[in-house]
Amino acid sequence: MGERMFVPLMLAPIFFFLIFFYGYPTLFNFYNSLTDLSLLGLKQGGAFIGLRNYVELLSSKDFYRVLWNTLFWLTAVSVALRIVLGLLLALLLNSATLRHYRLTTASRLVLLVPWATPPIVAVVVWRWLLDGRQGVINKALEGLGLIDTPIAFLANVDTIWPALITIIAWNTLPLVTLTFLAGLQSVPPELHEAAEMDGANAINRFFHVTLPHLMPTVVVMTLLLIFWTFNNFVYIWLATGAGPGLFTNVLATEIYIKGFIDFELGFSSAVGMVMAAMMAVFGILYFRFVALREFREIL
Amino acid sequence: MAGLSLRGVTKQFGSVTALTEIDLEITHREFVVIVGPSGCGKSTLLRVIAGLEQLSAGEIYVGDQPVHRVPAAKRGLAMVFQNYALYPHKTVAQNMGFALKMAKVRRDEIDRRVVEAARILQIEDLLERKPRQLSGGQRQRVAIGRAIVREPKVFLFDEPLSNLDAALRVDMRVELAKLHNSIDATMIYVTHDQVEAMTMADKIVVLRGGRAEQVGSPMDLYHRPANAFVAGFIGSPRMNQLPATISAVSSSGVSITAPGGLELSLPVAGHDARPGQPVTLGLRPEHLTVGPQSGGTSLDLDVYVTEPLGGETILYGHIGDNSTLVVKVPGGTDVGKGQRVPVGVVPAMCHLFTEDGTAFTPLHTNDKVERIGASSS
Ligand SMILES: Nc1ncnc2c1ncn2[C@@H]1O[C@H](COP(=O)(O)OP(=O)(O)O)[C@@H](O)[C@H]1O
Ligand SMILES: [Mg+2]
Repeated sequence: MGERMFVPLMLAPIFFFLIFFYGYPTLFNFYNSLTDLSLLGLKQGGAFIGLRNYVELLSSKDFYRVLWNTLFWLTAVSVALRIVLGLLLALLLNSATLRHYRLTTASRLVLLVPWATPPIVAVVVWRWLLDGRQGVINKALEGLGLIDTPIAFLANVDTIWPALITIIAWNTLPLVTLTFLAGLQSVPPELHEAAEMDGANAINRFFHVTLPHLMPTVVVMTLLLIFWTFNNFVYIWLATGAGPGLFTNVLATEIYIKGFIDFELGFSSAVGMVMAAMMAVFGILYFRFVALREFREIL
Repeated sequence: MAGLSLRGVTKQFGSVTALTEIDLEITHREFVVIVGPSGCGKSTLLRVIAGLEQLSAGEIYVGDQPVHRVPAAKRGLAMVFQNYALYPHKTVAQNMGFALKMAKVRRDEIDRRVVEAARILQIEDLLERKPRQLSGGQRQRVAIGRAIVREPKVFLFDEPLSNLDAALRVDMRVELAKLHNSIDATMIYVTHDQVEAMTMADKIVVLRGGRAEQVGSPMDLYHRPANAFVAGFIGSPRMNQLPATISAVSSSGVSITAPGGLELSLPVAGHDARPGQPVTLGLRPEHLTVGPQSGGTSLDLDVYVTEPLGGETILYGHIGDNSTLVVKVPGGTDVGKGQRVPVGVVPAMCHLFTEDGTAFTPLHTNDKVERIGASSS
């Protein structure tokens, strides 16, 4: 048997899974999105209504607010924040000072705590910390004299997104930091020494040696965070239930609300399809910037 | 101009002492090679000079300026790293110009100096490439170019040729020597390869266990090694070192007996030597001759391995009580495995060391030794 036969054979199981667990459900979902299927009428099925769900979705003002929440607050701000903070934290952990006092390992262990916390536990803990009446954070701020009246962080529209992003960052920043830390530790020390001899100060060395070395990691991490965050449901739903009202509604919660609270499964499927299309764009970017380069290295 | 002077340089890593009180005077434009086995502190010494490591004690002067408290960038030294340490995402030109850019030199001036250095190293057509698009030898040139561009007072090389294949290494050795002749700078070069040391150095520093065992010209070290370690390290194949015993001491020298019934009177100063004292006899393979001996002393060698190298052949054999002796003979010599051949020893070419390795001082004048050495090699 030649290699020509061998390769497709080895790939066959993967394609089998892709077709049955992704391809088929996607097509089924797409069909549903073209009907007025209701959760209460699953047995009799929905009537075919063409693109009406999509027209309704794309012409509603609410959709663009949900889109803004998803793309700007949930994804852009939280991803950018975690990339920057992760980088700073990794630099701090990798600093000669921490290494000198042998604190690197200890701080890495501390970092694992939030990461090992399941999202549901994280959200519950933070809801309690941020609580408007009993919350430790309010108590502390009052104690320090920084505020007079308690702030209901997860209800106040001015603080709710920052509070949500804080929870997400607390839970997932460690992974970003540890990934960057591994990247930092793989910078060949001679490069820094060569730059030092070339007269580069710490800032120059960061921009001319460290950052270029870390760039591939930053790109991959950014794209992965976008994947994980863009379609994330858990944090928003558990922390605010998309509220107050629908103030923090995002695409993932919108699918759930439309499908399982408003019972409009057909419409919910249409939202899902739009979301999938947007994910596909990120997927293409990932393929273009990461996977393709890796393929080229293998081939 | 810029000589370099080390005074009592000591470096400790925690409880490990990597360098112990190194004293070294290097004059302007000198090519100094620091040589020694792996782990002896060569890199550490270079890094201390460069300013990449703080010294634990001692002083370093460039010219008459103390620099041991000056940061690496301000010492006016350039270093070529063993694995080149080129900035992987920068082009060759950017790599070479980086130090000047950091020093805020004008753009056109940077370009001029980069092109000039590239011309010297014949890498002008590589300027726009990235390091990963270069061969090992080309990377090496870029690394050297990066140092040249800065017009440093002193070049520091840490085993720069060890990653190149044998043929390229010989070429680069010649090129470095040429470069040294053409530019106005001092060079300090670290290697574990005694051939590199012998061929390139004006002055060799032999390092062992963080101590300078001997400092001198290549011929000094070859003909007058201060101790058995230097004698064994310099020269290829290694010097034979045989256990021997002093039989008599006189004003004209020291008589010894060695394995294989060898009796020799060596023209070295006896000083505190006394009969019966165990010593080490040093015989360089290239100073032994094979064949019927007209005069002098000879011993019988039972050859068990021959290594024909073309121009010369290395013989490995036993003498007397199974001591091994290595002899280098001209390529055409007709000696085979299993043969017993007479080997001639010239007393003036022998070295003698005390039990702790210190060399006995030769009695005759230095030029005589060198003349004999030159004619026999
Ligand atoms: N950063 C360091 N920390 C601890 N020990 C070191 C360090 N650098 C070198 N050493 C020790 O110093 C000695 C000399 O090392 P080095 O200068 O690298 O040797 P060489 O270059 O001659 O092979 C070795 O015993 C090595 O283990
Ligand atoms: Mg070394």
